Amino acid sequence: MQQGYIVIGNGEDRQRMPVGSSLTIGRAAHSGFVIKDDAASRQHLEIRRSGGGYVCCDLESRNGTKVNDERISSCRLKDGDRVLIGETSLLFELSTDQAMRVPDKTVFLQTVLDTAGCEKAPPPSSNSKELLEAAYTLMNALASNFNPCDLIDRILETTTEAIRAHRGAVFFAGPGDELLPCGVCGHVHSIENGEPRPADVGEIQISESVARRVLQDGENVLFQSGWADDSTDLNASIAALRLTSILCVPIRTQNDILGILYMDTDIADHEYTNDDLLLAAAAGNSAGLALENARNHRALLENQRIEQDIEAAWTIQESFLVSDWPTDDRRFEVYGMTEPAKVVGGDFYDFAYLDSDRVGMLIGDVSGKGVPAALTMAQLLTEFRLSAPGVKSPAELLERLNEGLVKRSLRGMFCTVAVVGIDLRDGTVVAANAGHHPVMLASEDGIASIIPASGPPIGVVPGISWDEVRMRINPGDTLLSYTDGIVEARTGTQGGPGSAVYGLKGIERVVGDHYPNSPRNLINRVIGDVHDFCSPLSPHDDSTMIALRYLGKAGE
Amino acid sequence: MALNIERKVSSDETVISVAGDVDLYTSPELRKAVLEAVPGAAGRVAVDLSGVNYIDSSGIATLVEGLRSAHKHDKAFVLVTPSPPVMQVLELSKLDNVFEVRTTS
Repeated sequence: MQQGYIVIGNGEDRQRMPVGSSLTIGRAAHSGFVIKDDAASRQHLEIRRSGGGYVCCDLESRNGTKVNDERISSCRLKDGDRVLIGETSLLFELSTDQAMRVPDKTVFLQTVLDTAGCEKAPPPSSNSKELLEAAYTLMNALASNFNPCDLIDRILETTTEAIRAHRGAVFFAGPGDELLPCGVCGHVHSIENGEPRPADVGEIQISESVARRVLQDGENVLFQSGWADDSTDLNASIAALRLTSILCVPIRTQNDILGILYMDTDIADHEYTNDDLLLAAAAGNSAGLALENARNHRALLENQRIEQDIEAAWTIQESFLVSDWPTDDRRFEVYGMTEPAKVVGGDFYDFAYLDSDRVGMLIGDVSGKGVPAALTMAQLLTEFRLSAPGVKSPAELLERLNEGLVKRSLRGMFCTVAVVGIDLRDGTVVAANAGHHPVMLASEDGIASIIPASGPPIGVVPGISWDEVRMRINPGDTLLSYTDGIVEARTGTQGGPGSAVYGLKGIERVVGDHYPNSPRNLINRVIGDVHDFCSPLSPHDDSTMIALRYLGKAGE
Repeated sequence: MALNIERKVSSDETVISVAGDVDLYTSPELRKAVLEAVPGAAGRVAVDLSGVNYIDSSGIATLVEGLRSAHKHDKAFVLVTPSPPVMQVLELSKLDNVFEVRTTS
């Protein structure tokens, strides 16, 4: 592969800087190539490798860039092009010459050594400067790239080129030090004679003893054919593959070894030096840190995505929940509400007339949060509204909803539901509970938990049924249902000092204190109390309740 | 709080030990660990929940998905020594009858 260079100055002042995979030029001290020219911008120009050649892009500089006297914003560069930045003229050269000449300034030395974890400088050798340049180019490339696959390809490209390896590959460590391909693209990133090539795990064989030494002991391994070594499989595999040297280093993070950077060569008279090993080790360290950064960056984006999702979910939830409560039937009062948290869940409630004398209410909580939970909630409510008037009992309704959800459920999604039917003529209650919190009964006698779950949530096991509870309630009695968001509301952070849970006791206290009040009043008081309890934080989950107060057959 | 997941493989069992809070943000990690372990497991797949301080419904959904995946691959799926908060959730929702729960490891 041809190398691009930027040349500045003449005679003794002449400096020649390899472009590597990319190079920024400008006044700023952190530029890859710093020029002292007041007419140049801080970040003036970038030159980077592209499609086997090089392109340059003006970084919206104040005074612009000229190539061969022509003002450009971006263009391909060819050998001998004159690039004018401010008042500074640079020459672009393309060369296949491997012996790079470098500027005398090697300010990057310290960084490289720190990254490599070396305590003393490596012994001077013929190619140490070009290796340092490669290390610098590498770190430049890694610092701003959050795409793991791009990162790995850059690492391979720069490192194999600098140490003249004919082949290189990156493997990740699996359980039991198994070697795995890249988890993002599913291939082993590899490069052969400068050309990136996605490979399968079996295609590039690494001796087990080497992999073990690198992954378990964190050693940098350099091995030349013919060396005495107790790992006979290594000598055999080297001979079989006609390799002369292999070089293998860990890809490290601060606390972990993520994988292996492997390189080998079959060029007969080329053996790796200690400096090559140091560069590879530095590349492995930088790669680990860059991959960890990329991972953190992705985690951050993922959290942002979840939060955006949640806004959409709230719109769905809001449009599906009942907001018009019947007020003209003197036999009962009913009210429900949900107070969305920052993270919208799949809470829902509903109310329906089953016929002229019977009403039904339900409350539920779909597992998970965001759009998938909200869509499932919407489907369940639609199904409830369509089938409620035709089903004979709450248990039959649960069975129907269960069959639908088991078939549709993805990723283990399920839903807890409590269904309560009330005959307004005599206060007969028929109810069934699929994995939800018990229903609360508030009466003159106090507070009781009734109708506990008689089976698992819907959506988990096909073909099951739930036992029903049958009972009578008296005029004046109120049935209340609630979701996790209320009982699990907490002060402080989970597990933190002074953290406490609102719990069933919280609801019982508020409802007990205000028992004869209307459902709307009780629910507003409980949800207000939950807010006060969590203050100054907000409840982390939706607070949802529905309540029905039976007033007697003619509202007596 | 981040999740800590360890996998131990033996001839008759793959144990995935989980420690930390399993919630909306961390359950994808558990999901990955469980679904990767199931197809190649030599025997049953056990999820050790003794180190879990908190589990929300997305965490439980991950366990349900693991159970389904295990059944599809003809493998047993066991929850091992769930911590008291996890056990409470399983009991309340009657999922303790759906999962095989082992109380000693």
